[in-house]
Amino acid sequence: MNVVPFLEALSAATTDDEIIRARVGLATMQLYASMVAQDVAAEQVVTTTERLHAELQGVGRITPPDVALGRVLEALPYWPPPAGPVLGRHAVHLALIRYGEALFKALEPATGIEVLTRAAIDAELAGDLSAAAQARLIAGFALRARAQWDASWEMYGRAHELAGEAGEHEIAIRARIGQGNNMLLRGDLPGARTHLRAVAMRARRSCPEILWRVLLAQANVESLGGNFDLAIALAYRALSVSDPTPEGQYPALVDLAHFFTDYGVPDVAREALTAVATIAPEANIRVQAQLNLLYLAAQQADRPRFDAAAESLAHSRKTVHQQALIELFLAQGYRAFGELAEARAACERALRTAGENALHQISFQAEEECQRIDSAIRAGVTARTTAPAEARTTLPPRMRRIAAAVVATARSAVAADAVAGTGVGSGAV
Amino acid sequence: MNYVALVSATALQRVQVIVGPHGSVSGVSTVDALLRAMRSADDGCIVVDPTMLDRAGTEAIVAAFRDMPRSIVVYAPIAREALEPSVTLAQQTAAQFVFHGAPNERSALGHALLLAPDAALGVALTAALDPLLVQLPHQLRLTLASMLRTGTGPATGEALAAHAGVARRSMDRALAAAGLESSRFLIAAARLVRVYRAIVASRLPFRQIAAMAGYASQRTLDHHCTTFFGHSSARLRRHPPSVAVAVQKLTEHLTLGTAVTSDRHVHSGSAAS
Repeated sequence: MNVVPFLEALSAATTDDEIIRARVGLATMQLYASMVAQDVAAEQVVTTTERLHAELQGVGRITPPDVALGRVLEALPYWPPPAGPVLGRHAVHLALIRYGEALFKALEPATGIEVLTRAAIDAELAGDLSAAAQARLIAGFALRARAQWDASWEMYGRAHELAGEAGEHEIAIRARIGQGNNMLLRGDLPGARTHLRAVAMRARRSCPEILWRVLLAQANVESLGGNFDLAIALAYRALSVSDPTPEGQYPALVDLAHFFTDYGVPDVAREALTAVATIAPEANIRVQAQLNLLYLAAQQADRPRFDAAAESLAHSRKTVHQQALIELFLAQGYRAFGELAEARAACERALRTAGENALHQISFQAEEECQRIDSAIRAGVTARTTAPAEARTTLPPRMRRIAAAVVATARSAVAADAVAGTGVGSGAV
Repeated sequence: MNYVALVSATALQRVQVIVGPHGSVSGVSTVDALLRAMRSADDGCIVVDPTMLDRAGTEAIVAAFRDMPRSIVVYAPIAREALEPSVTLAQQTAAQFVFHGAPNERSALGHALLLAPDAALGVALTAALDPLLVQLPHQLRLTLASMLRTGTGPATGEALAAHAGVARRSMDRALAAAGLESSRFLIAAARLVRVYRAIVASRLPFRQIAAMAGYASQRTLDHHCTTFFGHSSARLRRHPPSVAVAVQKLTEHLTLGTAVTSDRHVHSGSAAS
């Protein structure tokens, strides 16, 4: 196992909590490696995991990677026989996948990718093709976010192969979606469009429950190509075919809000985002919606809503990726209000956060924003520079129907959540 | 099919959405209520969150399963309090496992619920083949028994060998020495155990069953049904054989040296090929 990312994390740790996380993470992965090599007895696994778990409980502020690492420690004792010959190993593989994903989303993308790669290799060698496919799927996403396009493409490709062998249609199709997104981010819109069209046909045939993911990917292609009405239609179709639950609906609602913003209908976007930010069950989705509200307010030069969104986000738990985006949107907003010093400071923070964590896409966007700010400074701008983007006053009939439906869905979701919160809709007897 | 669930409210909602018009779902809040449902005359599927079970509750479920096998879906987080009951259920029942937070959670839960295997068929088939299975290496025997009992497991011969911790050729030799058919036949039979209930006791479209179960097409599903049972899936739904007859037909095709039909060739039949 390559321990270099763990050792780098340990050497970079400056607080007691960071040292504990890095130490326990490294010790856990070394214990796991010993178990795979069958160099440690079952009793020793139990003793060691209990000790590591107790040490992990000593951190002051629990983060998602801490929770995920705790799950790994809880799963490891079930690896050695006779406790769990197949089930235990599958649970350990899945726990490692979640740990790697949590590391990537937090502060340690290199360590996260190492954990995911290790889980993928070991699961494949053990014949747990389902877990191997899932690990490679997430690793492919992580590599793409770090702009490691070729490695990401290969990882997705292998995930697709393994998922096919394991009969995991959802994972196989998501891997193909990932490759489509790779093409999109590299600027190959026609290629991405053709690729995703084929993926959509396959999803309709073999795995209709995740068709919504393909439709949202297709919507993103059209959005980047400037076809906002088509993007909205595709995203609305995704909303229609997704599960009528909060978990099923919110991804499509967030994207619809973004597309309606680009289409010039900010009121609809704001309605959808506000609902998502209020009632989404996952904190990550709520933060994402708040992020988009901040973006919307910056684009609309709406100072009260801009300040409210910034204040709300200041008190939310965020990933590194989200933090970088917040700084970028703050920079855009302050530039719109003519507050160029604040804009420059926010842009520099965005560049620093993105650079430290190899978030190359955000780095590119932040560099462009800094150039715009510098241009404004050189021009001696001291007042608001950007008029609010004009909203569309008339919509084609189809767009009007979709807009009304999106607003209705957002409001009904709020109402359903309020009912469920009282326990009336719980269904238990 | 009827589903009885001892799970959280959020998980219950998820189950209800997935089952949709293909069955009825009722939630219970105690192990006793779950056991009453298991012992009822109605055939059904049990969905259980192991974090809501103590040791006595887990053992009671195992005992009820022995008396009257039922499809069991364990819908679990990967947590300390869940793994011990999960391991017990894995070792002593034909439970399927879906873990919270896995990337394929939604589709895995859908497959587990809508393609809930016929527990009685799996248990009877494993019992019928036990004299041959005991001749296999330990890990291969455990893997095959679990696969035939639950209808889930490795989808290829190579994956089966890897799961069993043996080389592919060693596995092939061990199967032949024990008087069993090739891994391809065993995997095909396990897949039929998985879809048997959906074919004979549900109204799920055959095309959907085939897609969910990983068949390349509905035609492949029909080919396997004809090979092992002598009838197409549509015919099986119209005239479902008894579990005893189904076990007999499967056993005949999985043991070497028994009556050979004219159509013993079975494609690998997976969508990946």
